Amino acid sequence: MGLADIGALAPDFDLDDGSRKRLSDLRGQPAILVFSPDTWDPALPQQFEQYSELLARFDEPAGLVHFARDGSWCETENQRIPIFRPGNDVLKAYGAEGQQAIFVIDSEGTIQWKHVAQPGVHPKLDDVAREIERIRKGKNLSRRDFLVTAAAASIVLVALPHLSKATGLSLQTKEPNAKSVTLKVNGKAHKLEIDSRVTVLDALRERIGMTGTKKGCDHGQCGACTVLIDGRRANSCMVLAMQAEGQEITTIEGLAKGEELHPVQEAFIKHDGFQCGYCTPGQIMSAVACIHEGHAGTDEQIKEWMSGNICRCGAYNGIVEAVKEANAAMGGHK
Amino acid sequence: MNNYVGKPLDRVDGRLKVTGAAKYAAEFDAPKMSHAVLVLSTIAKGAITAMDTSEAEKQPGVIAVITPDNMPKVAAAQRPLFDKAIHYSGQSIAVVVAETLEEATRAADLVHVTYAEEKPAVEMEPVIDQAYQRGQPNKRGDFDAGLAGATHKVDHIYRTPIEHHNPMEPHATVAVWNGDMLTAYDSTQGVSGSAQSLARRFGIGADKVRVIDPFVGGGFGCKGQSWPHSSIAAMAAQVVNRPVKLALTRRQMFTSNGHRPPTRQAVILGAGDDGKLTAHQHYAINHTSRQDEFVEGTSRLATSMYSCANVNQGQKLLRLDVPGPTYARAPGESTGSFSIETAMDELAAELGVDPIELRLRNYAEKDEASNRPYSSKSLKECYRLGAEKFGWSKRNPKVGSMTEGRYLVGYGMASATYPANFWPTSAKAVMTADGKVQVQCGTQDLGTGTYTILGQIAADAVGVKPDMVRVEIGDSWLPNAPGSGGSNSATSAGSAVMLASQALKKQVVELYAATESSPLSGHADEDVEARDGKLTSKKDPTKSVEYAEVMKKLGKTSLEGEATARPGAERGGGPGEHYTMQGFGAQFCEVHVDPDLRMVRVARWVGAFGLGKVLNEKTLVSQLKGGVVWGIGMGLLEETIPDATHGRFVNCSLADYHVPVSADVCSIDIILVPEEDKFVSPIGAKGAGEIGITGAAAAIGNAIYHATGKRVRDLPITLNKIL
Amino acid sequence: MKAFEYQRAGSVGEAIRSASDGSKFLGGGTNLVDLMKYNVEEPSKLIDVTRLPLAKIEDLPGGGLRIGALVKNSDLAADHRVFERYRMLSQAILNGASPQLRNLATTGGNLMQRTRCGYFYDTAFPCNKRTPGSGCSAIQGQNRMHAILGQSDACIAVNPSDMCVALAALDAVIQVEGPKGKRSIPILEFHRLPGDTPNLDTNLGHGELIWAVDLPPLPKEVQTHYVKVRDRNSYAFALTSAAVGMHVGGVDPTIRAARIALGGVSHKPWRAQEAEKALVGMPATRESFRHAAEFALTGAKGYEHNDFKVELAKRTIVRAFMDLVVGLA
Repeated sequence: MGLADIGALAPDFDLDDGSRKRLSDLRGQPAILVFSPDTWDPALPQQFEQYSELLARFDEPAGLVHFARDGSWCETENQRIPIFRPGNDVLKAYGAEGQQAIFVIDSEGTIQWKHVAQPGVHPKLDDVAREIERIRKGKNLSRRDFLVTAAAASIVLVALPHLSKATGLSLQTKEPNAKSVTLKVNGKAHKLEIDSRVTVLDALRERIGMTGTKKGCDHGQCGACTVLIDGRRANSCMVLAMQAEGQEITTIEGLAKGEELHPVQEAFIKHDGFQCGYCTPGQIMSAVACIHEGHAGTDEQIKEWMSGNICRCGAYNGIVEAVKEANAAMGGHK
Repeated sequence: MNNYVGKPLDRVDGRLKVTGAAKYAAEFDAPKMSHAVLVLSTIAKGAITAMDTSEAEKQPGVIAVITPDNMPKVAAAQRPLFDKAIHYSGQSIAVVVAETLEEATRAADLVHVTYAEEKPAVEMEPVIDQAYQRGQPNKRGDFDAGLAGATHKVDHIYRTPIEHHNPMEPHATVAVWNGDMLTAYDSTQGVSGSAQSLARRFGIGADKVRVIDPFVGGGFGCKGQSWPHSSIAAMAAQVVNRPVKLALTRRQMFTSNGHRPPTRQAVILGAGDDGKLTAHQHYAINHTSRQDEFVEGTSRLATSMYSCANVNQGQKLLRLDVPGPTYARAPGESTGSFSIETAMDELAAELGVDPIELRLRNYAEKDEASNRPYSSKSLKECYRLGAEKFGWSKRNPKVGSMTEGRYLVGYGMASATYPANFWPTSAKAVMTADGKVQVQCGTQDLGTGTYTILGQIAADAVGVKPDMVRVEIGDSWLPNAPGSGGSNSATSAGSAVMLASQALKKQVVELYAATESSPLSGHADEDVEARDGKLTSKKDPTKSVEYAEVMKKLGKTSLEGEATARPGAERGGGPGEHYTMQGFGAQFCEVHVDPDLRMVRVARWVGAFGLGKVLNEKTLVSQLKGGVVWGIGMGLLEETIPDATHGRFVNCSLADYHVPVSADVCSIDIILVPEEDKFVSPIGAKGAGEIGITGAAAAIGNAIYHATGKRVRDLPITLNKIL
Repeated sequence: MKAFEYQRAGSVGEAIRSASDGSKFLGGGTNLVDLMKYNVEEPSKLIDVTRLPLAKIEDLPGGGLRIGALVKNSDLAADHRVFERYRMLSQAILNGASPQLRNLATTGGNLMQRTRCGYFYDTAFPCNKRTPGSGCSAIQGQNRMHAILGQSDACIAVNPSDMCVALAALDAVIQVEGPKGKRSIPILEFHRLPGDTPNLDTNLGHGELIWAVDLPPLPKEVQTHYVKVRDRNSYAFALTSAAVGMHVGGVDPTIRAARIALGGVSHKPWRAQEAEKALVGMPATRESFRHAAEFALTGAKGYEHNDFKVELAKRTIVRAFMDLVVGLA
């Protein structure tokens, strides 16, 4: 049992935002605590915007956020959201080292819900909101009470949030012809109620909210959607989600171990095996399989066996170098 | 000052891209998202006489079917979003919004349209007489006299086909209205331009639109202007009063966002026995749509690429029932260099002169079109270094004389060139209390490395380590920057960020020098060296202080420097000497041609380029290689094929429109020829996005000629043309 | 895509019983799902057969092989028995599509692969194959990829499969089971020429499911080879291809037996048996092969943009044999 489990008191720490407050000073109002890996992230303004969506969940009128560009905080209409880099002890206390994490803390300071995952695996805002709703019900607060309380909620951002407002936000409407299907993605089961027409690709991107797998052509002609299904590379745009039930799907989000990148990912960065990055997740998944298949022995072999992944930026030289190096790093193959 | 600029640093966005965390336009979401799918016309010319939406509307999940009949009136500064008059096949005529992508897609298929159809014209040759002059033909000297005096002549028609950009990321717009405020996550090469276009379309202030696009999945020109689908998404979001996501399908991308127009080029070269050009004619025609005029500036190279006193140059357009063409990687130079560089090779063969030697004999020391000097031109060095690395001297000029195994071997070369564009750009550099720097500029990274180079530039100019810099771009609310096109971004945004960063450092130094008992008291900006986060007195190197310390002392949470970089008089805007600013290069390739089956394989490539200051060697080399790969596609594979009867493209897919795959691409050797250019821009760099493709198709064609004796003057050089 | 009912079959019998008007069996989906997305195929029901126990490759008595209908293209190509005994089949498969598509595509599905004709793929164009009676847009249109042998005035589409070309040369037998029981269809009778009914690609009856493909034994002495000519160096459909086999023997070495099948030239994998006969007794020389190639292309006819295929197909045959002769196969 770690310190920061559900039901436990949230480990306390200095907010270090100039307010000289500690987390415990926020008691009396619910708080959301977000950890994100301290990686450079150019999408910062957008991430704030996404974050504001979460804030909007607490009260009816949205449009809370005016991102202040000149400081280390995000300013909303009535509050500032501090951003800071916590010490390792804080990360350790929350089990958030190298992870991205989100904690919902109730007004008593108890952790009510958490999502701790590898970077890039974003929680669905719906899940967060549902948990908040559950807290509300558990405490027998009326919706009105909750809104009042929630409006005063504190948000503490630790480093940068990698919070996706991915499709979780779309209402899970009952789709006609909906069938129940459970997809196992990167070891986690996702139960979906979907139309039989939905492909694995669209299930990942539009239903589960994992957008790392890309749609380039939707017809098996570019390889951008390549994932591993039961360990073998496949075009996820050509596979119906219903067909993939029970199979192990591995996507780009499931490749790194926490902060530690897969050797193929490392090699792609080192050899500049991409430019725009859109074909990259497919290239990398394909490369991982190519190496495991034993098809990465020579340049010519790599070129042929990586030809199912189109790179319009023309980064093929870098890709071949990256696959070659990763193959060596992974000890030949298998 | 640090020296991070130029270093081959890894891309700062690399980690996001290899983990799938980098978000592209269609991957943004909002509460209550709905999905929109376009309905496109299936005829090329005529009019819609009826649209039956009843079946579509009855489909499960459908929220709205928006057609020319029920679309809201939005500001019609431009043409209406949907038009009952059909101008080309694949024109947007309606949009369906539904709860899910699958539902919207199906309902869009069930919008039944009746047309009054007319016979379309989509091919140039049958109606070539209808081409009309665009702009004044350019005449220098006396072409006829020059040609009459020539002892050697090349006189041919060269053709290039319709080509599609096909970036891997399909165009997409996620439109979110919040009251009268529109946020659009739009896949675009210009967030500012996209925002302005949407503001105009909806008749709202530019401050009411925010376009966000942190990552662009390739553009190459086709995301350079705001296409109808972006406005349609925003309109649909208004209609359904919910956020709307509209992503084009790959097939829709063949008619919804432009293409490189086909060209027909009449080129005549006349030369004396010494190989000196005495006459050069280049008349080019490209198709354009019924509604727009797009000039592929194919022939403009003729006025300046080589030295020649007698030049005729002109450009015509031909209206056809096709979607509007647009910029595609090196618009003008890519198509124009194919004909000129092929013709020069033909002339060299005719004269029995080495192709490089012929180019040297006609070397243009200045820009003869404008009579200006070049701000820098390293083309001779490019020829020399490229030839050396390639082993050009081993080339046996005799056609078909070289072999390797069963293959015929051909060596070919061509010159490459593209203007060094620089457009006004603003940027801001902000230092936060911890001494870190945020750089903000409304430019965008199409995969070119903008994030990375801007970080390097700021790191040097402020004097911090690159990991202390965070670059924010891809947001129209950031300081204004032009679209990323014409290879301008590194130059423009790079210059702006450098100036803003310098301004920031100056401000920090001056404020700190003025504080009580400051160790830098009495120091001006130039007296202080900033390096890796530390300010050091040049007068007394023992005096130094960390930026973070300075910020603490100043009690500031942030300080910022702002700047706008503008081209100066040297580009012809005022008094003083005016220069032509242009990048140059030389392409060398070896092809292996199967003697029987005639499949062509590009076996080796060397490209040497002079592009001013190198900002990041790694990303620059990658960009140039990418251009060469495009050249391989252009030379051997790429062509969009219209069906003349139905006026519709027949190969709108990545299976049927062939872009190069890994097996088509050899190892490409890029030489960066050292070049200093004091005039081109404050940052001293020329862009590199386009030049890599220029000359490439010609180099391949020239190599194929050398291998086989077959001269192909219409691209792509597919095997049936050399059978 | 039109909505459909999805059903996963638990057994071959269940799959066959579930077949109804408008239903389709779903294998790897790489062609069917593709066509459904373009509304070219609009099944009302998909019967997913991919979990049926038909993914084995088994030895047949006498030296042949039985390939389960659900054996993935990748696995078939990589099978050492296939590689050693039927080399051209392995080569043909690896010349098709991409590694990730071959991981999905099944043997049965590959047999059912439909043409890549651009007019067939786009419902905005008239096409007799897709909409009988609407006309053939390709005959007067963009037909660079189209047929030169066996076509009709109704259709000049080509079968795009590489695998099937090798199967045609190998005299494969397609094992099917339907409502009326089991039957075997020789590969050359499996695919159809377009005639007046180009909408029918094969002679498979409705509700009939392919459950295996049998490869008869090939004498050890017969060496085989597959050559594909395409625009890209990989991941492209054939302009032309040739699957050839040859047994050269005797004191004064001559060709004892030959196999020739062509791809990219017809509505079905094109077996050139007359040309094979012409080779028997001839020396294994370029001239002999060229002579046979002329035979194989007898009656070939182009439609302007694909005229070149007539010559290219001949050269492809010659090349395939010459590769065997010079040891480049």
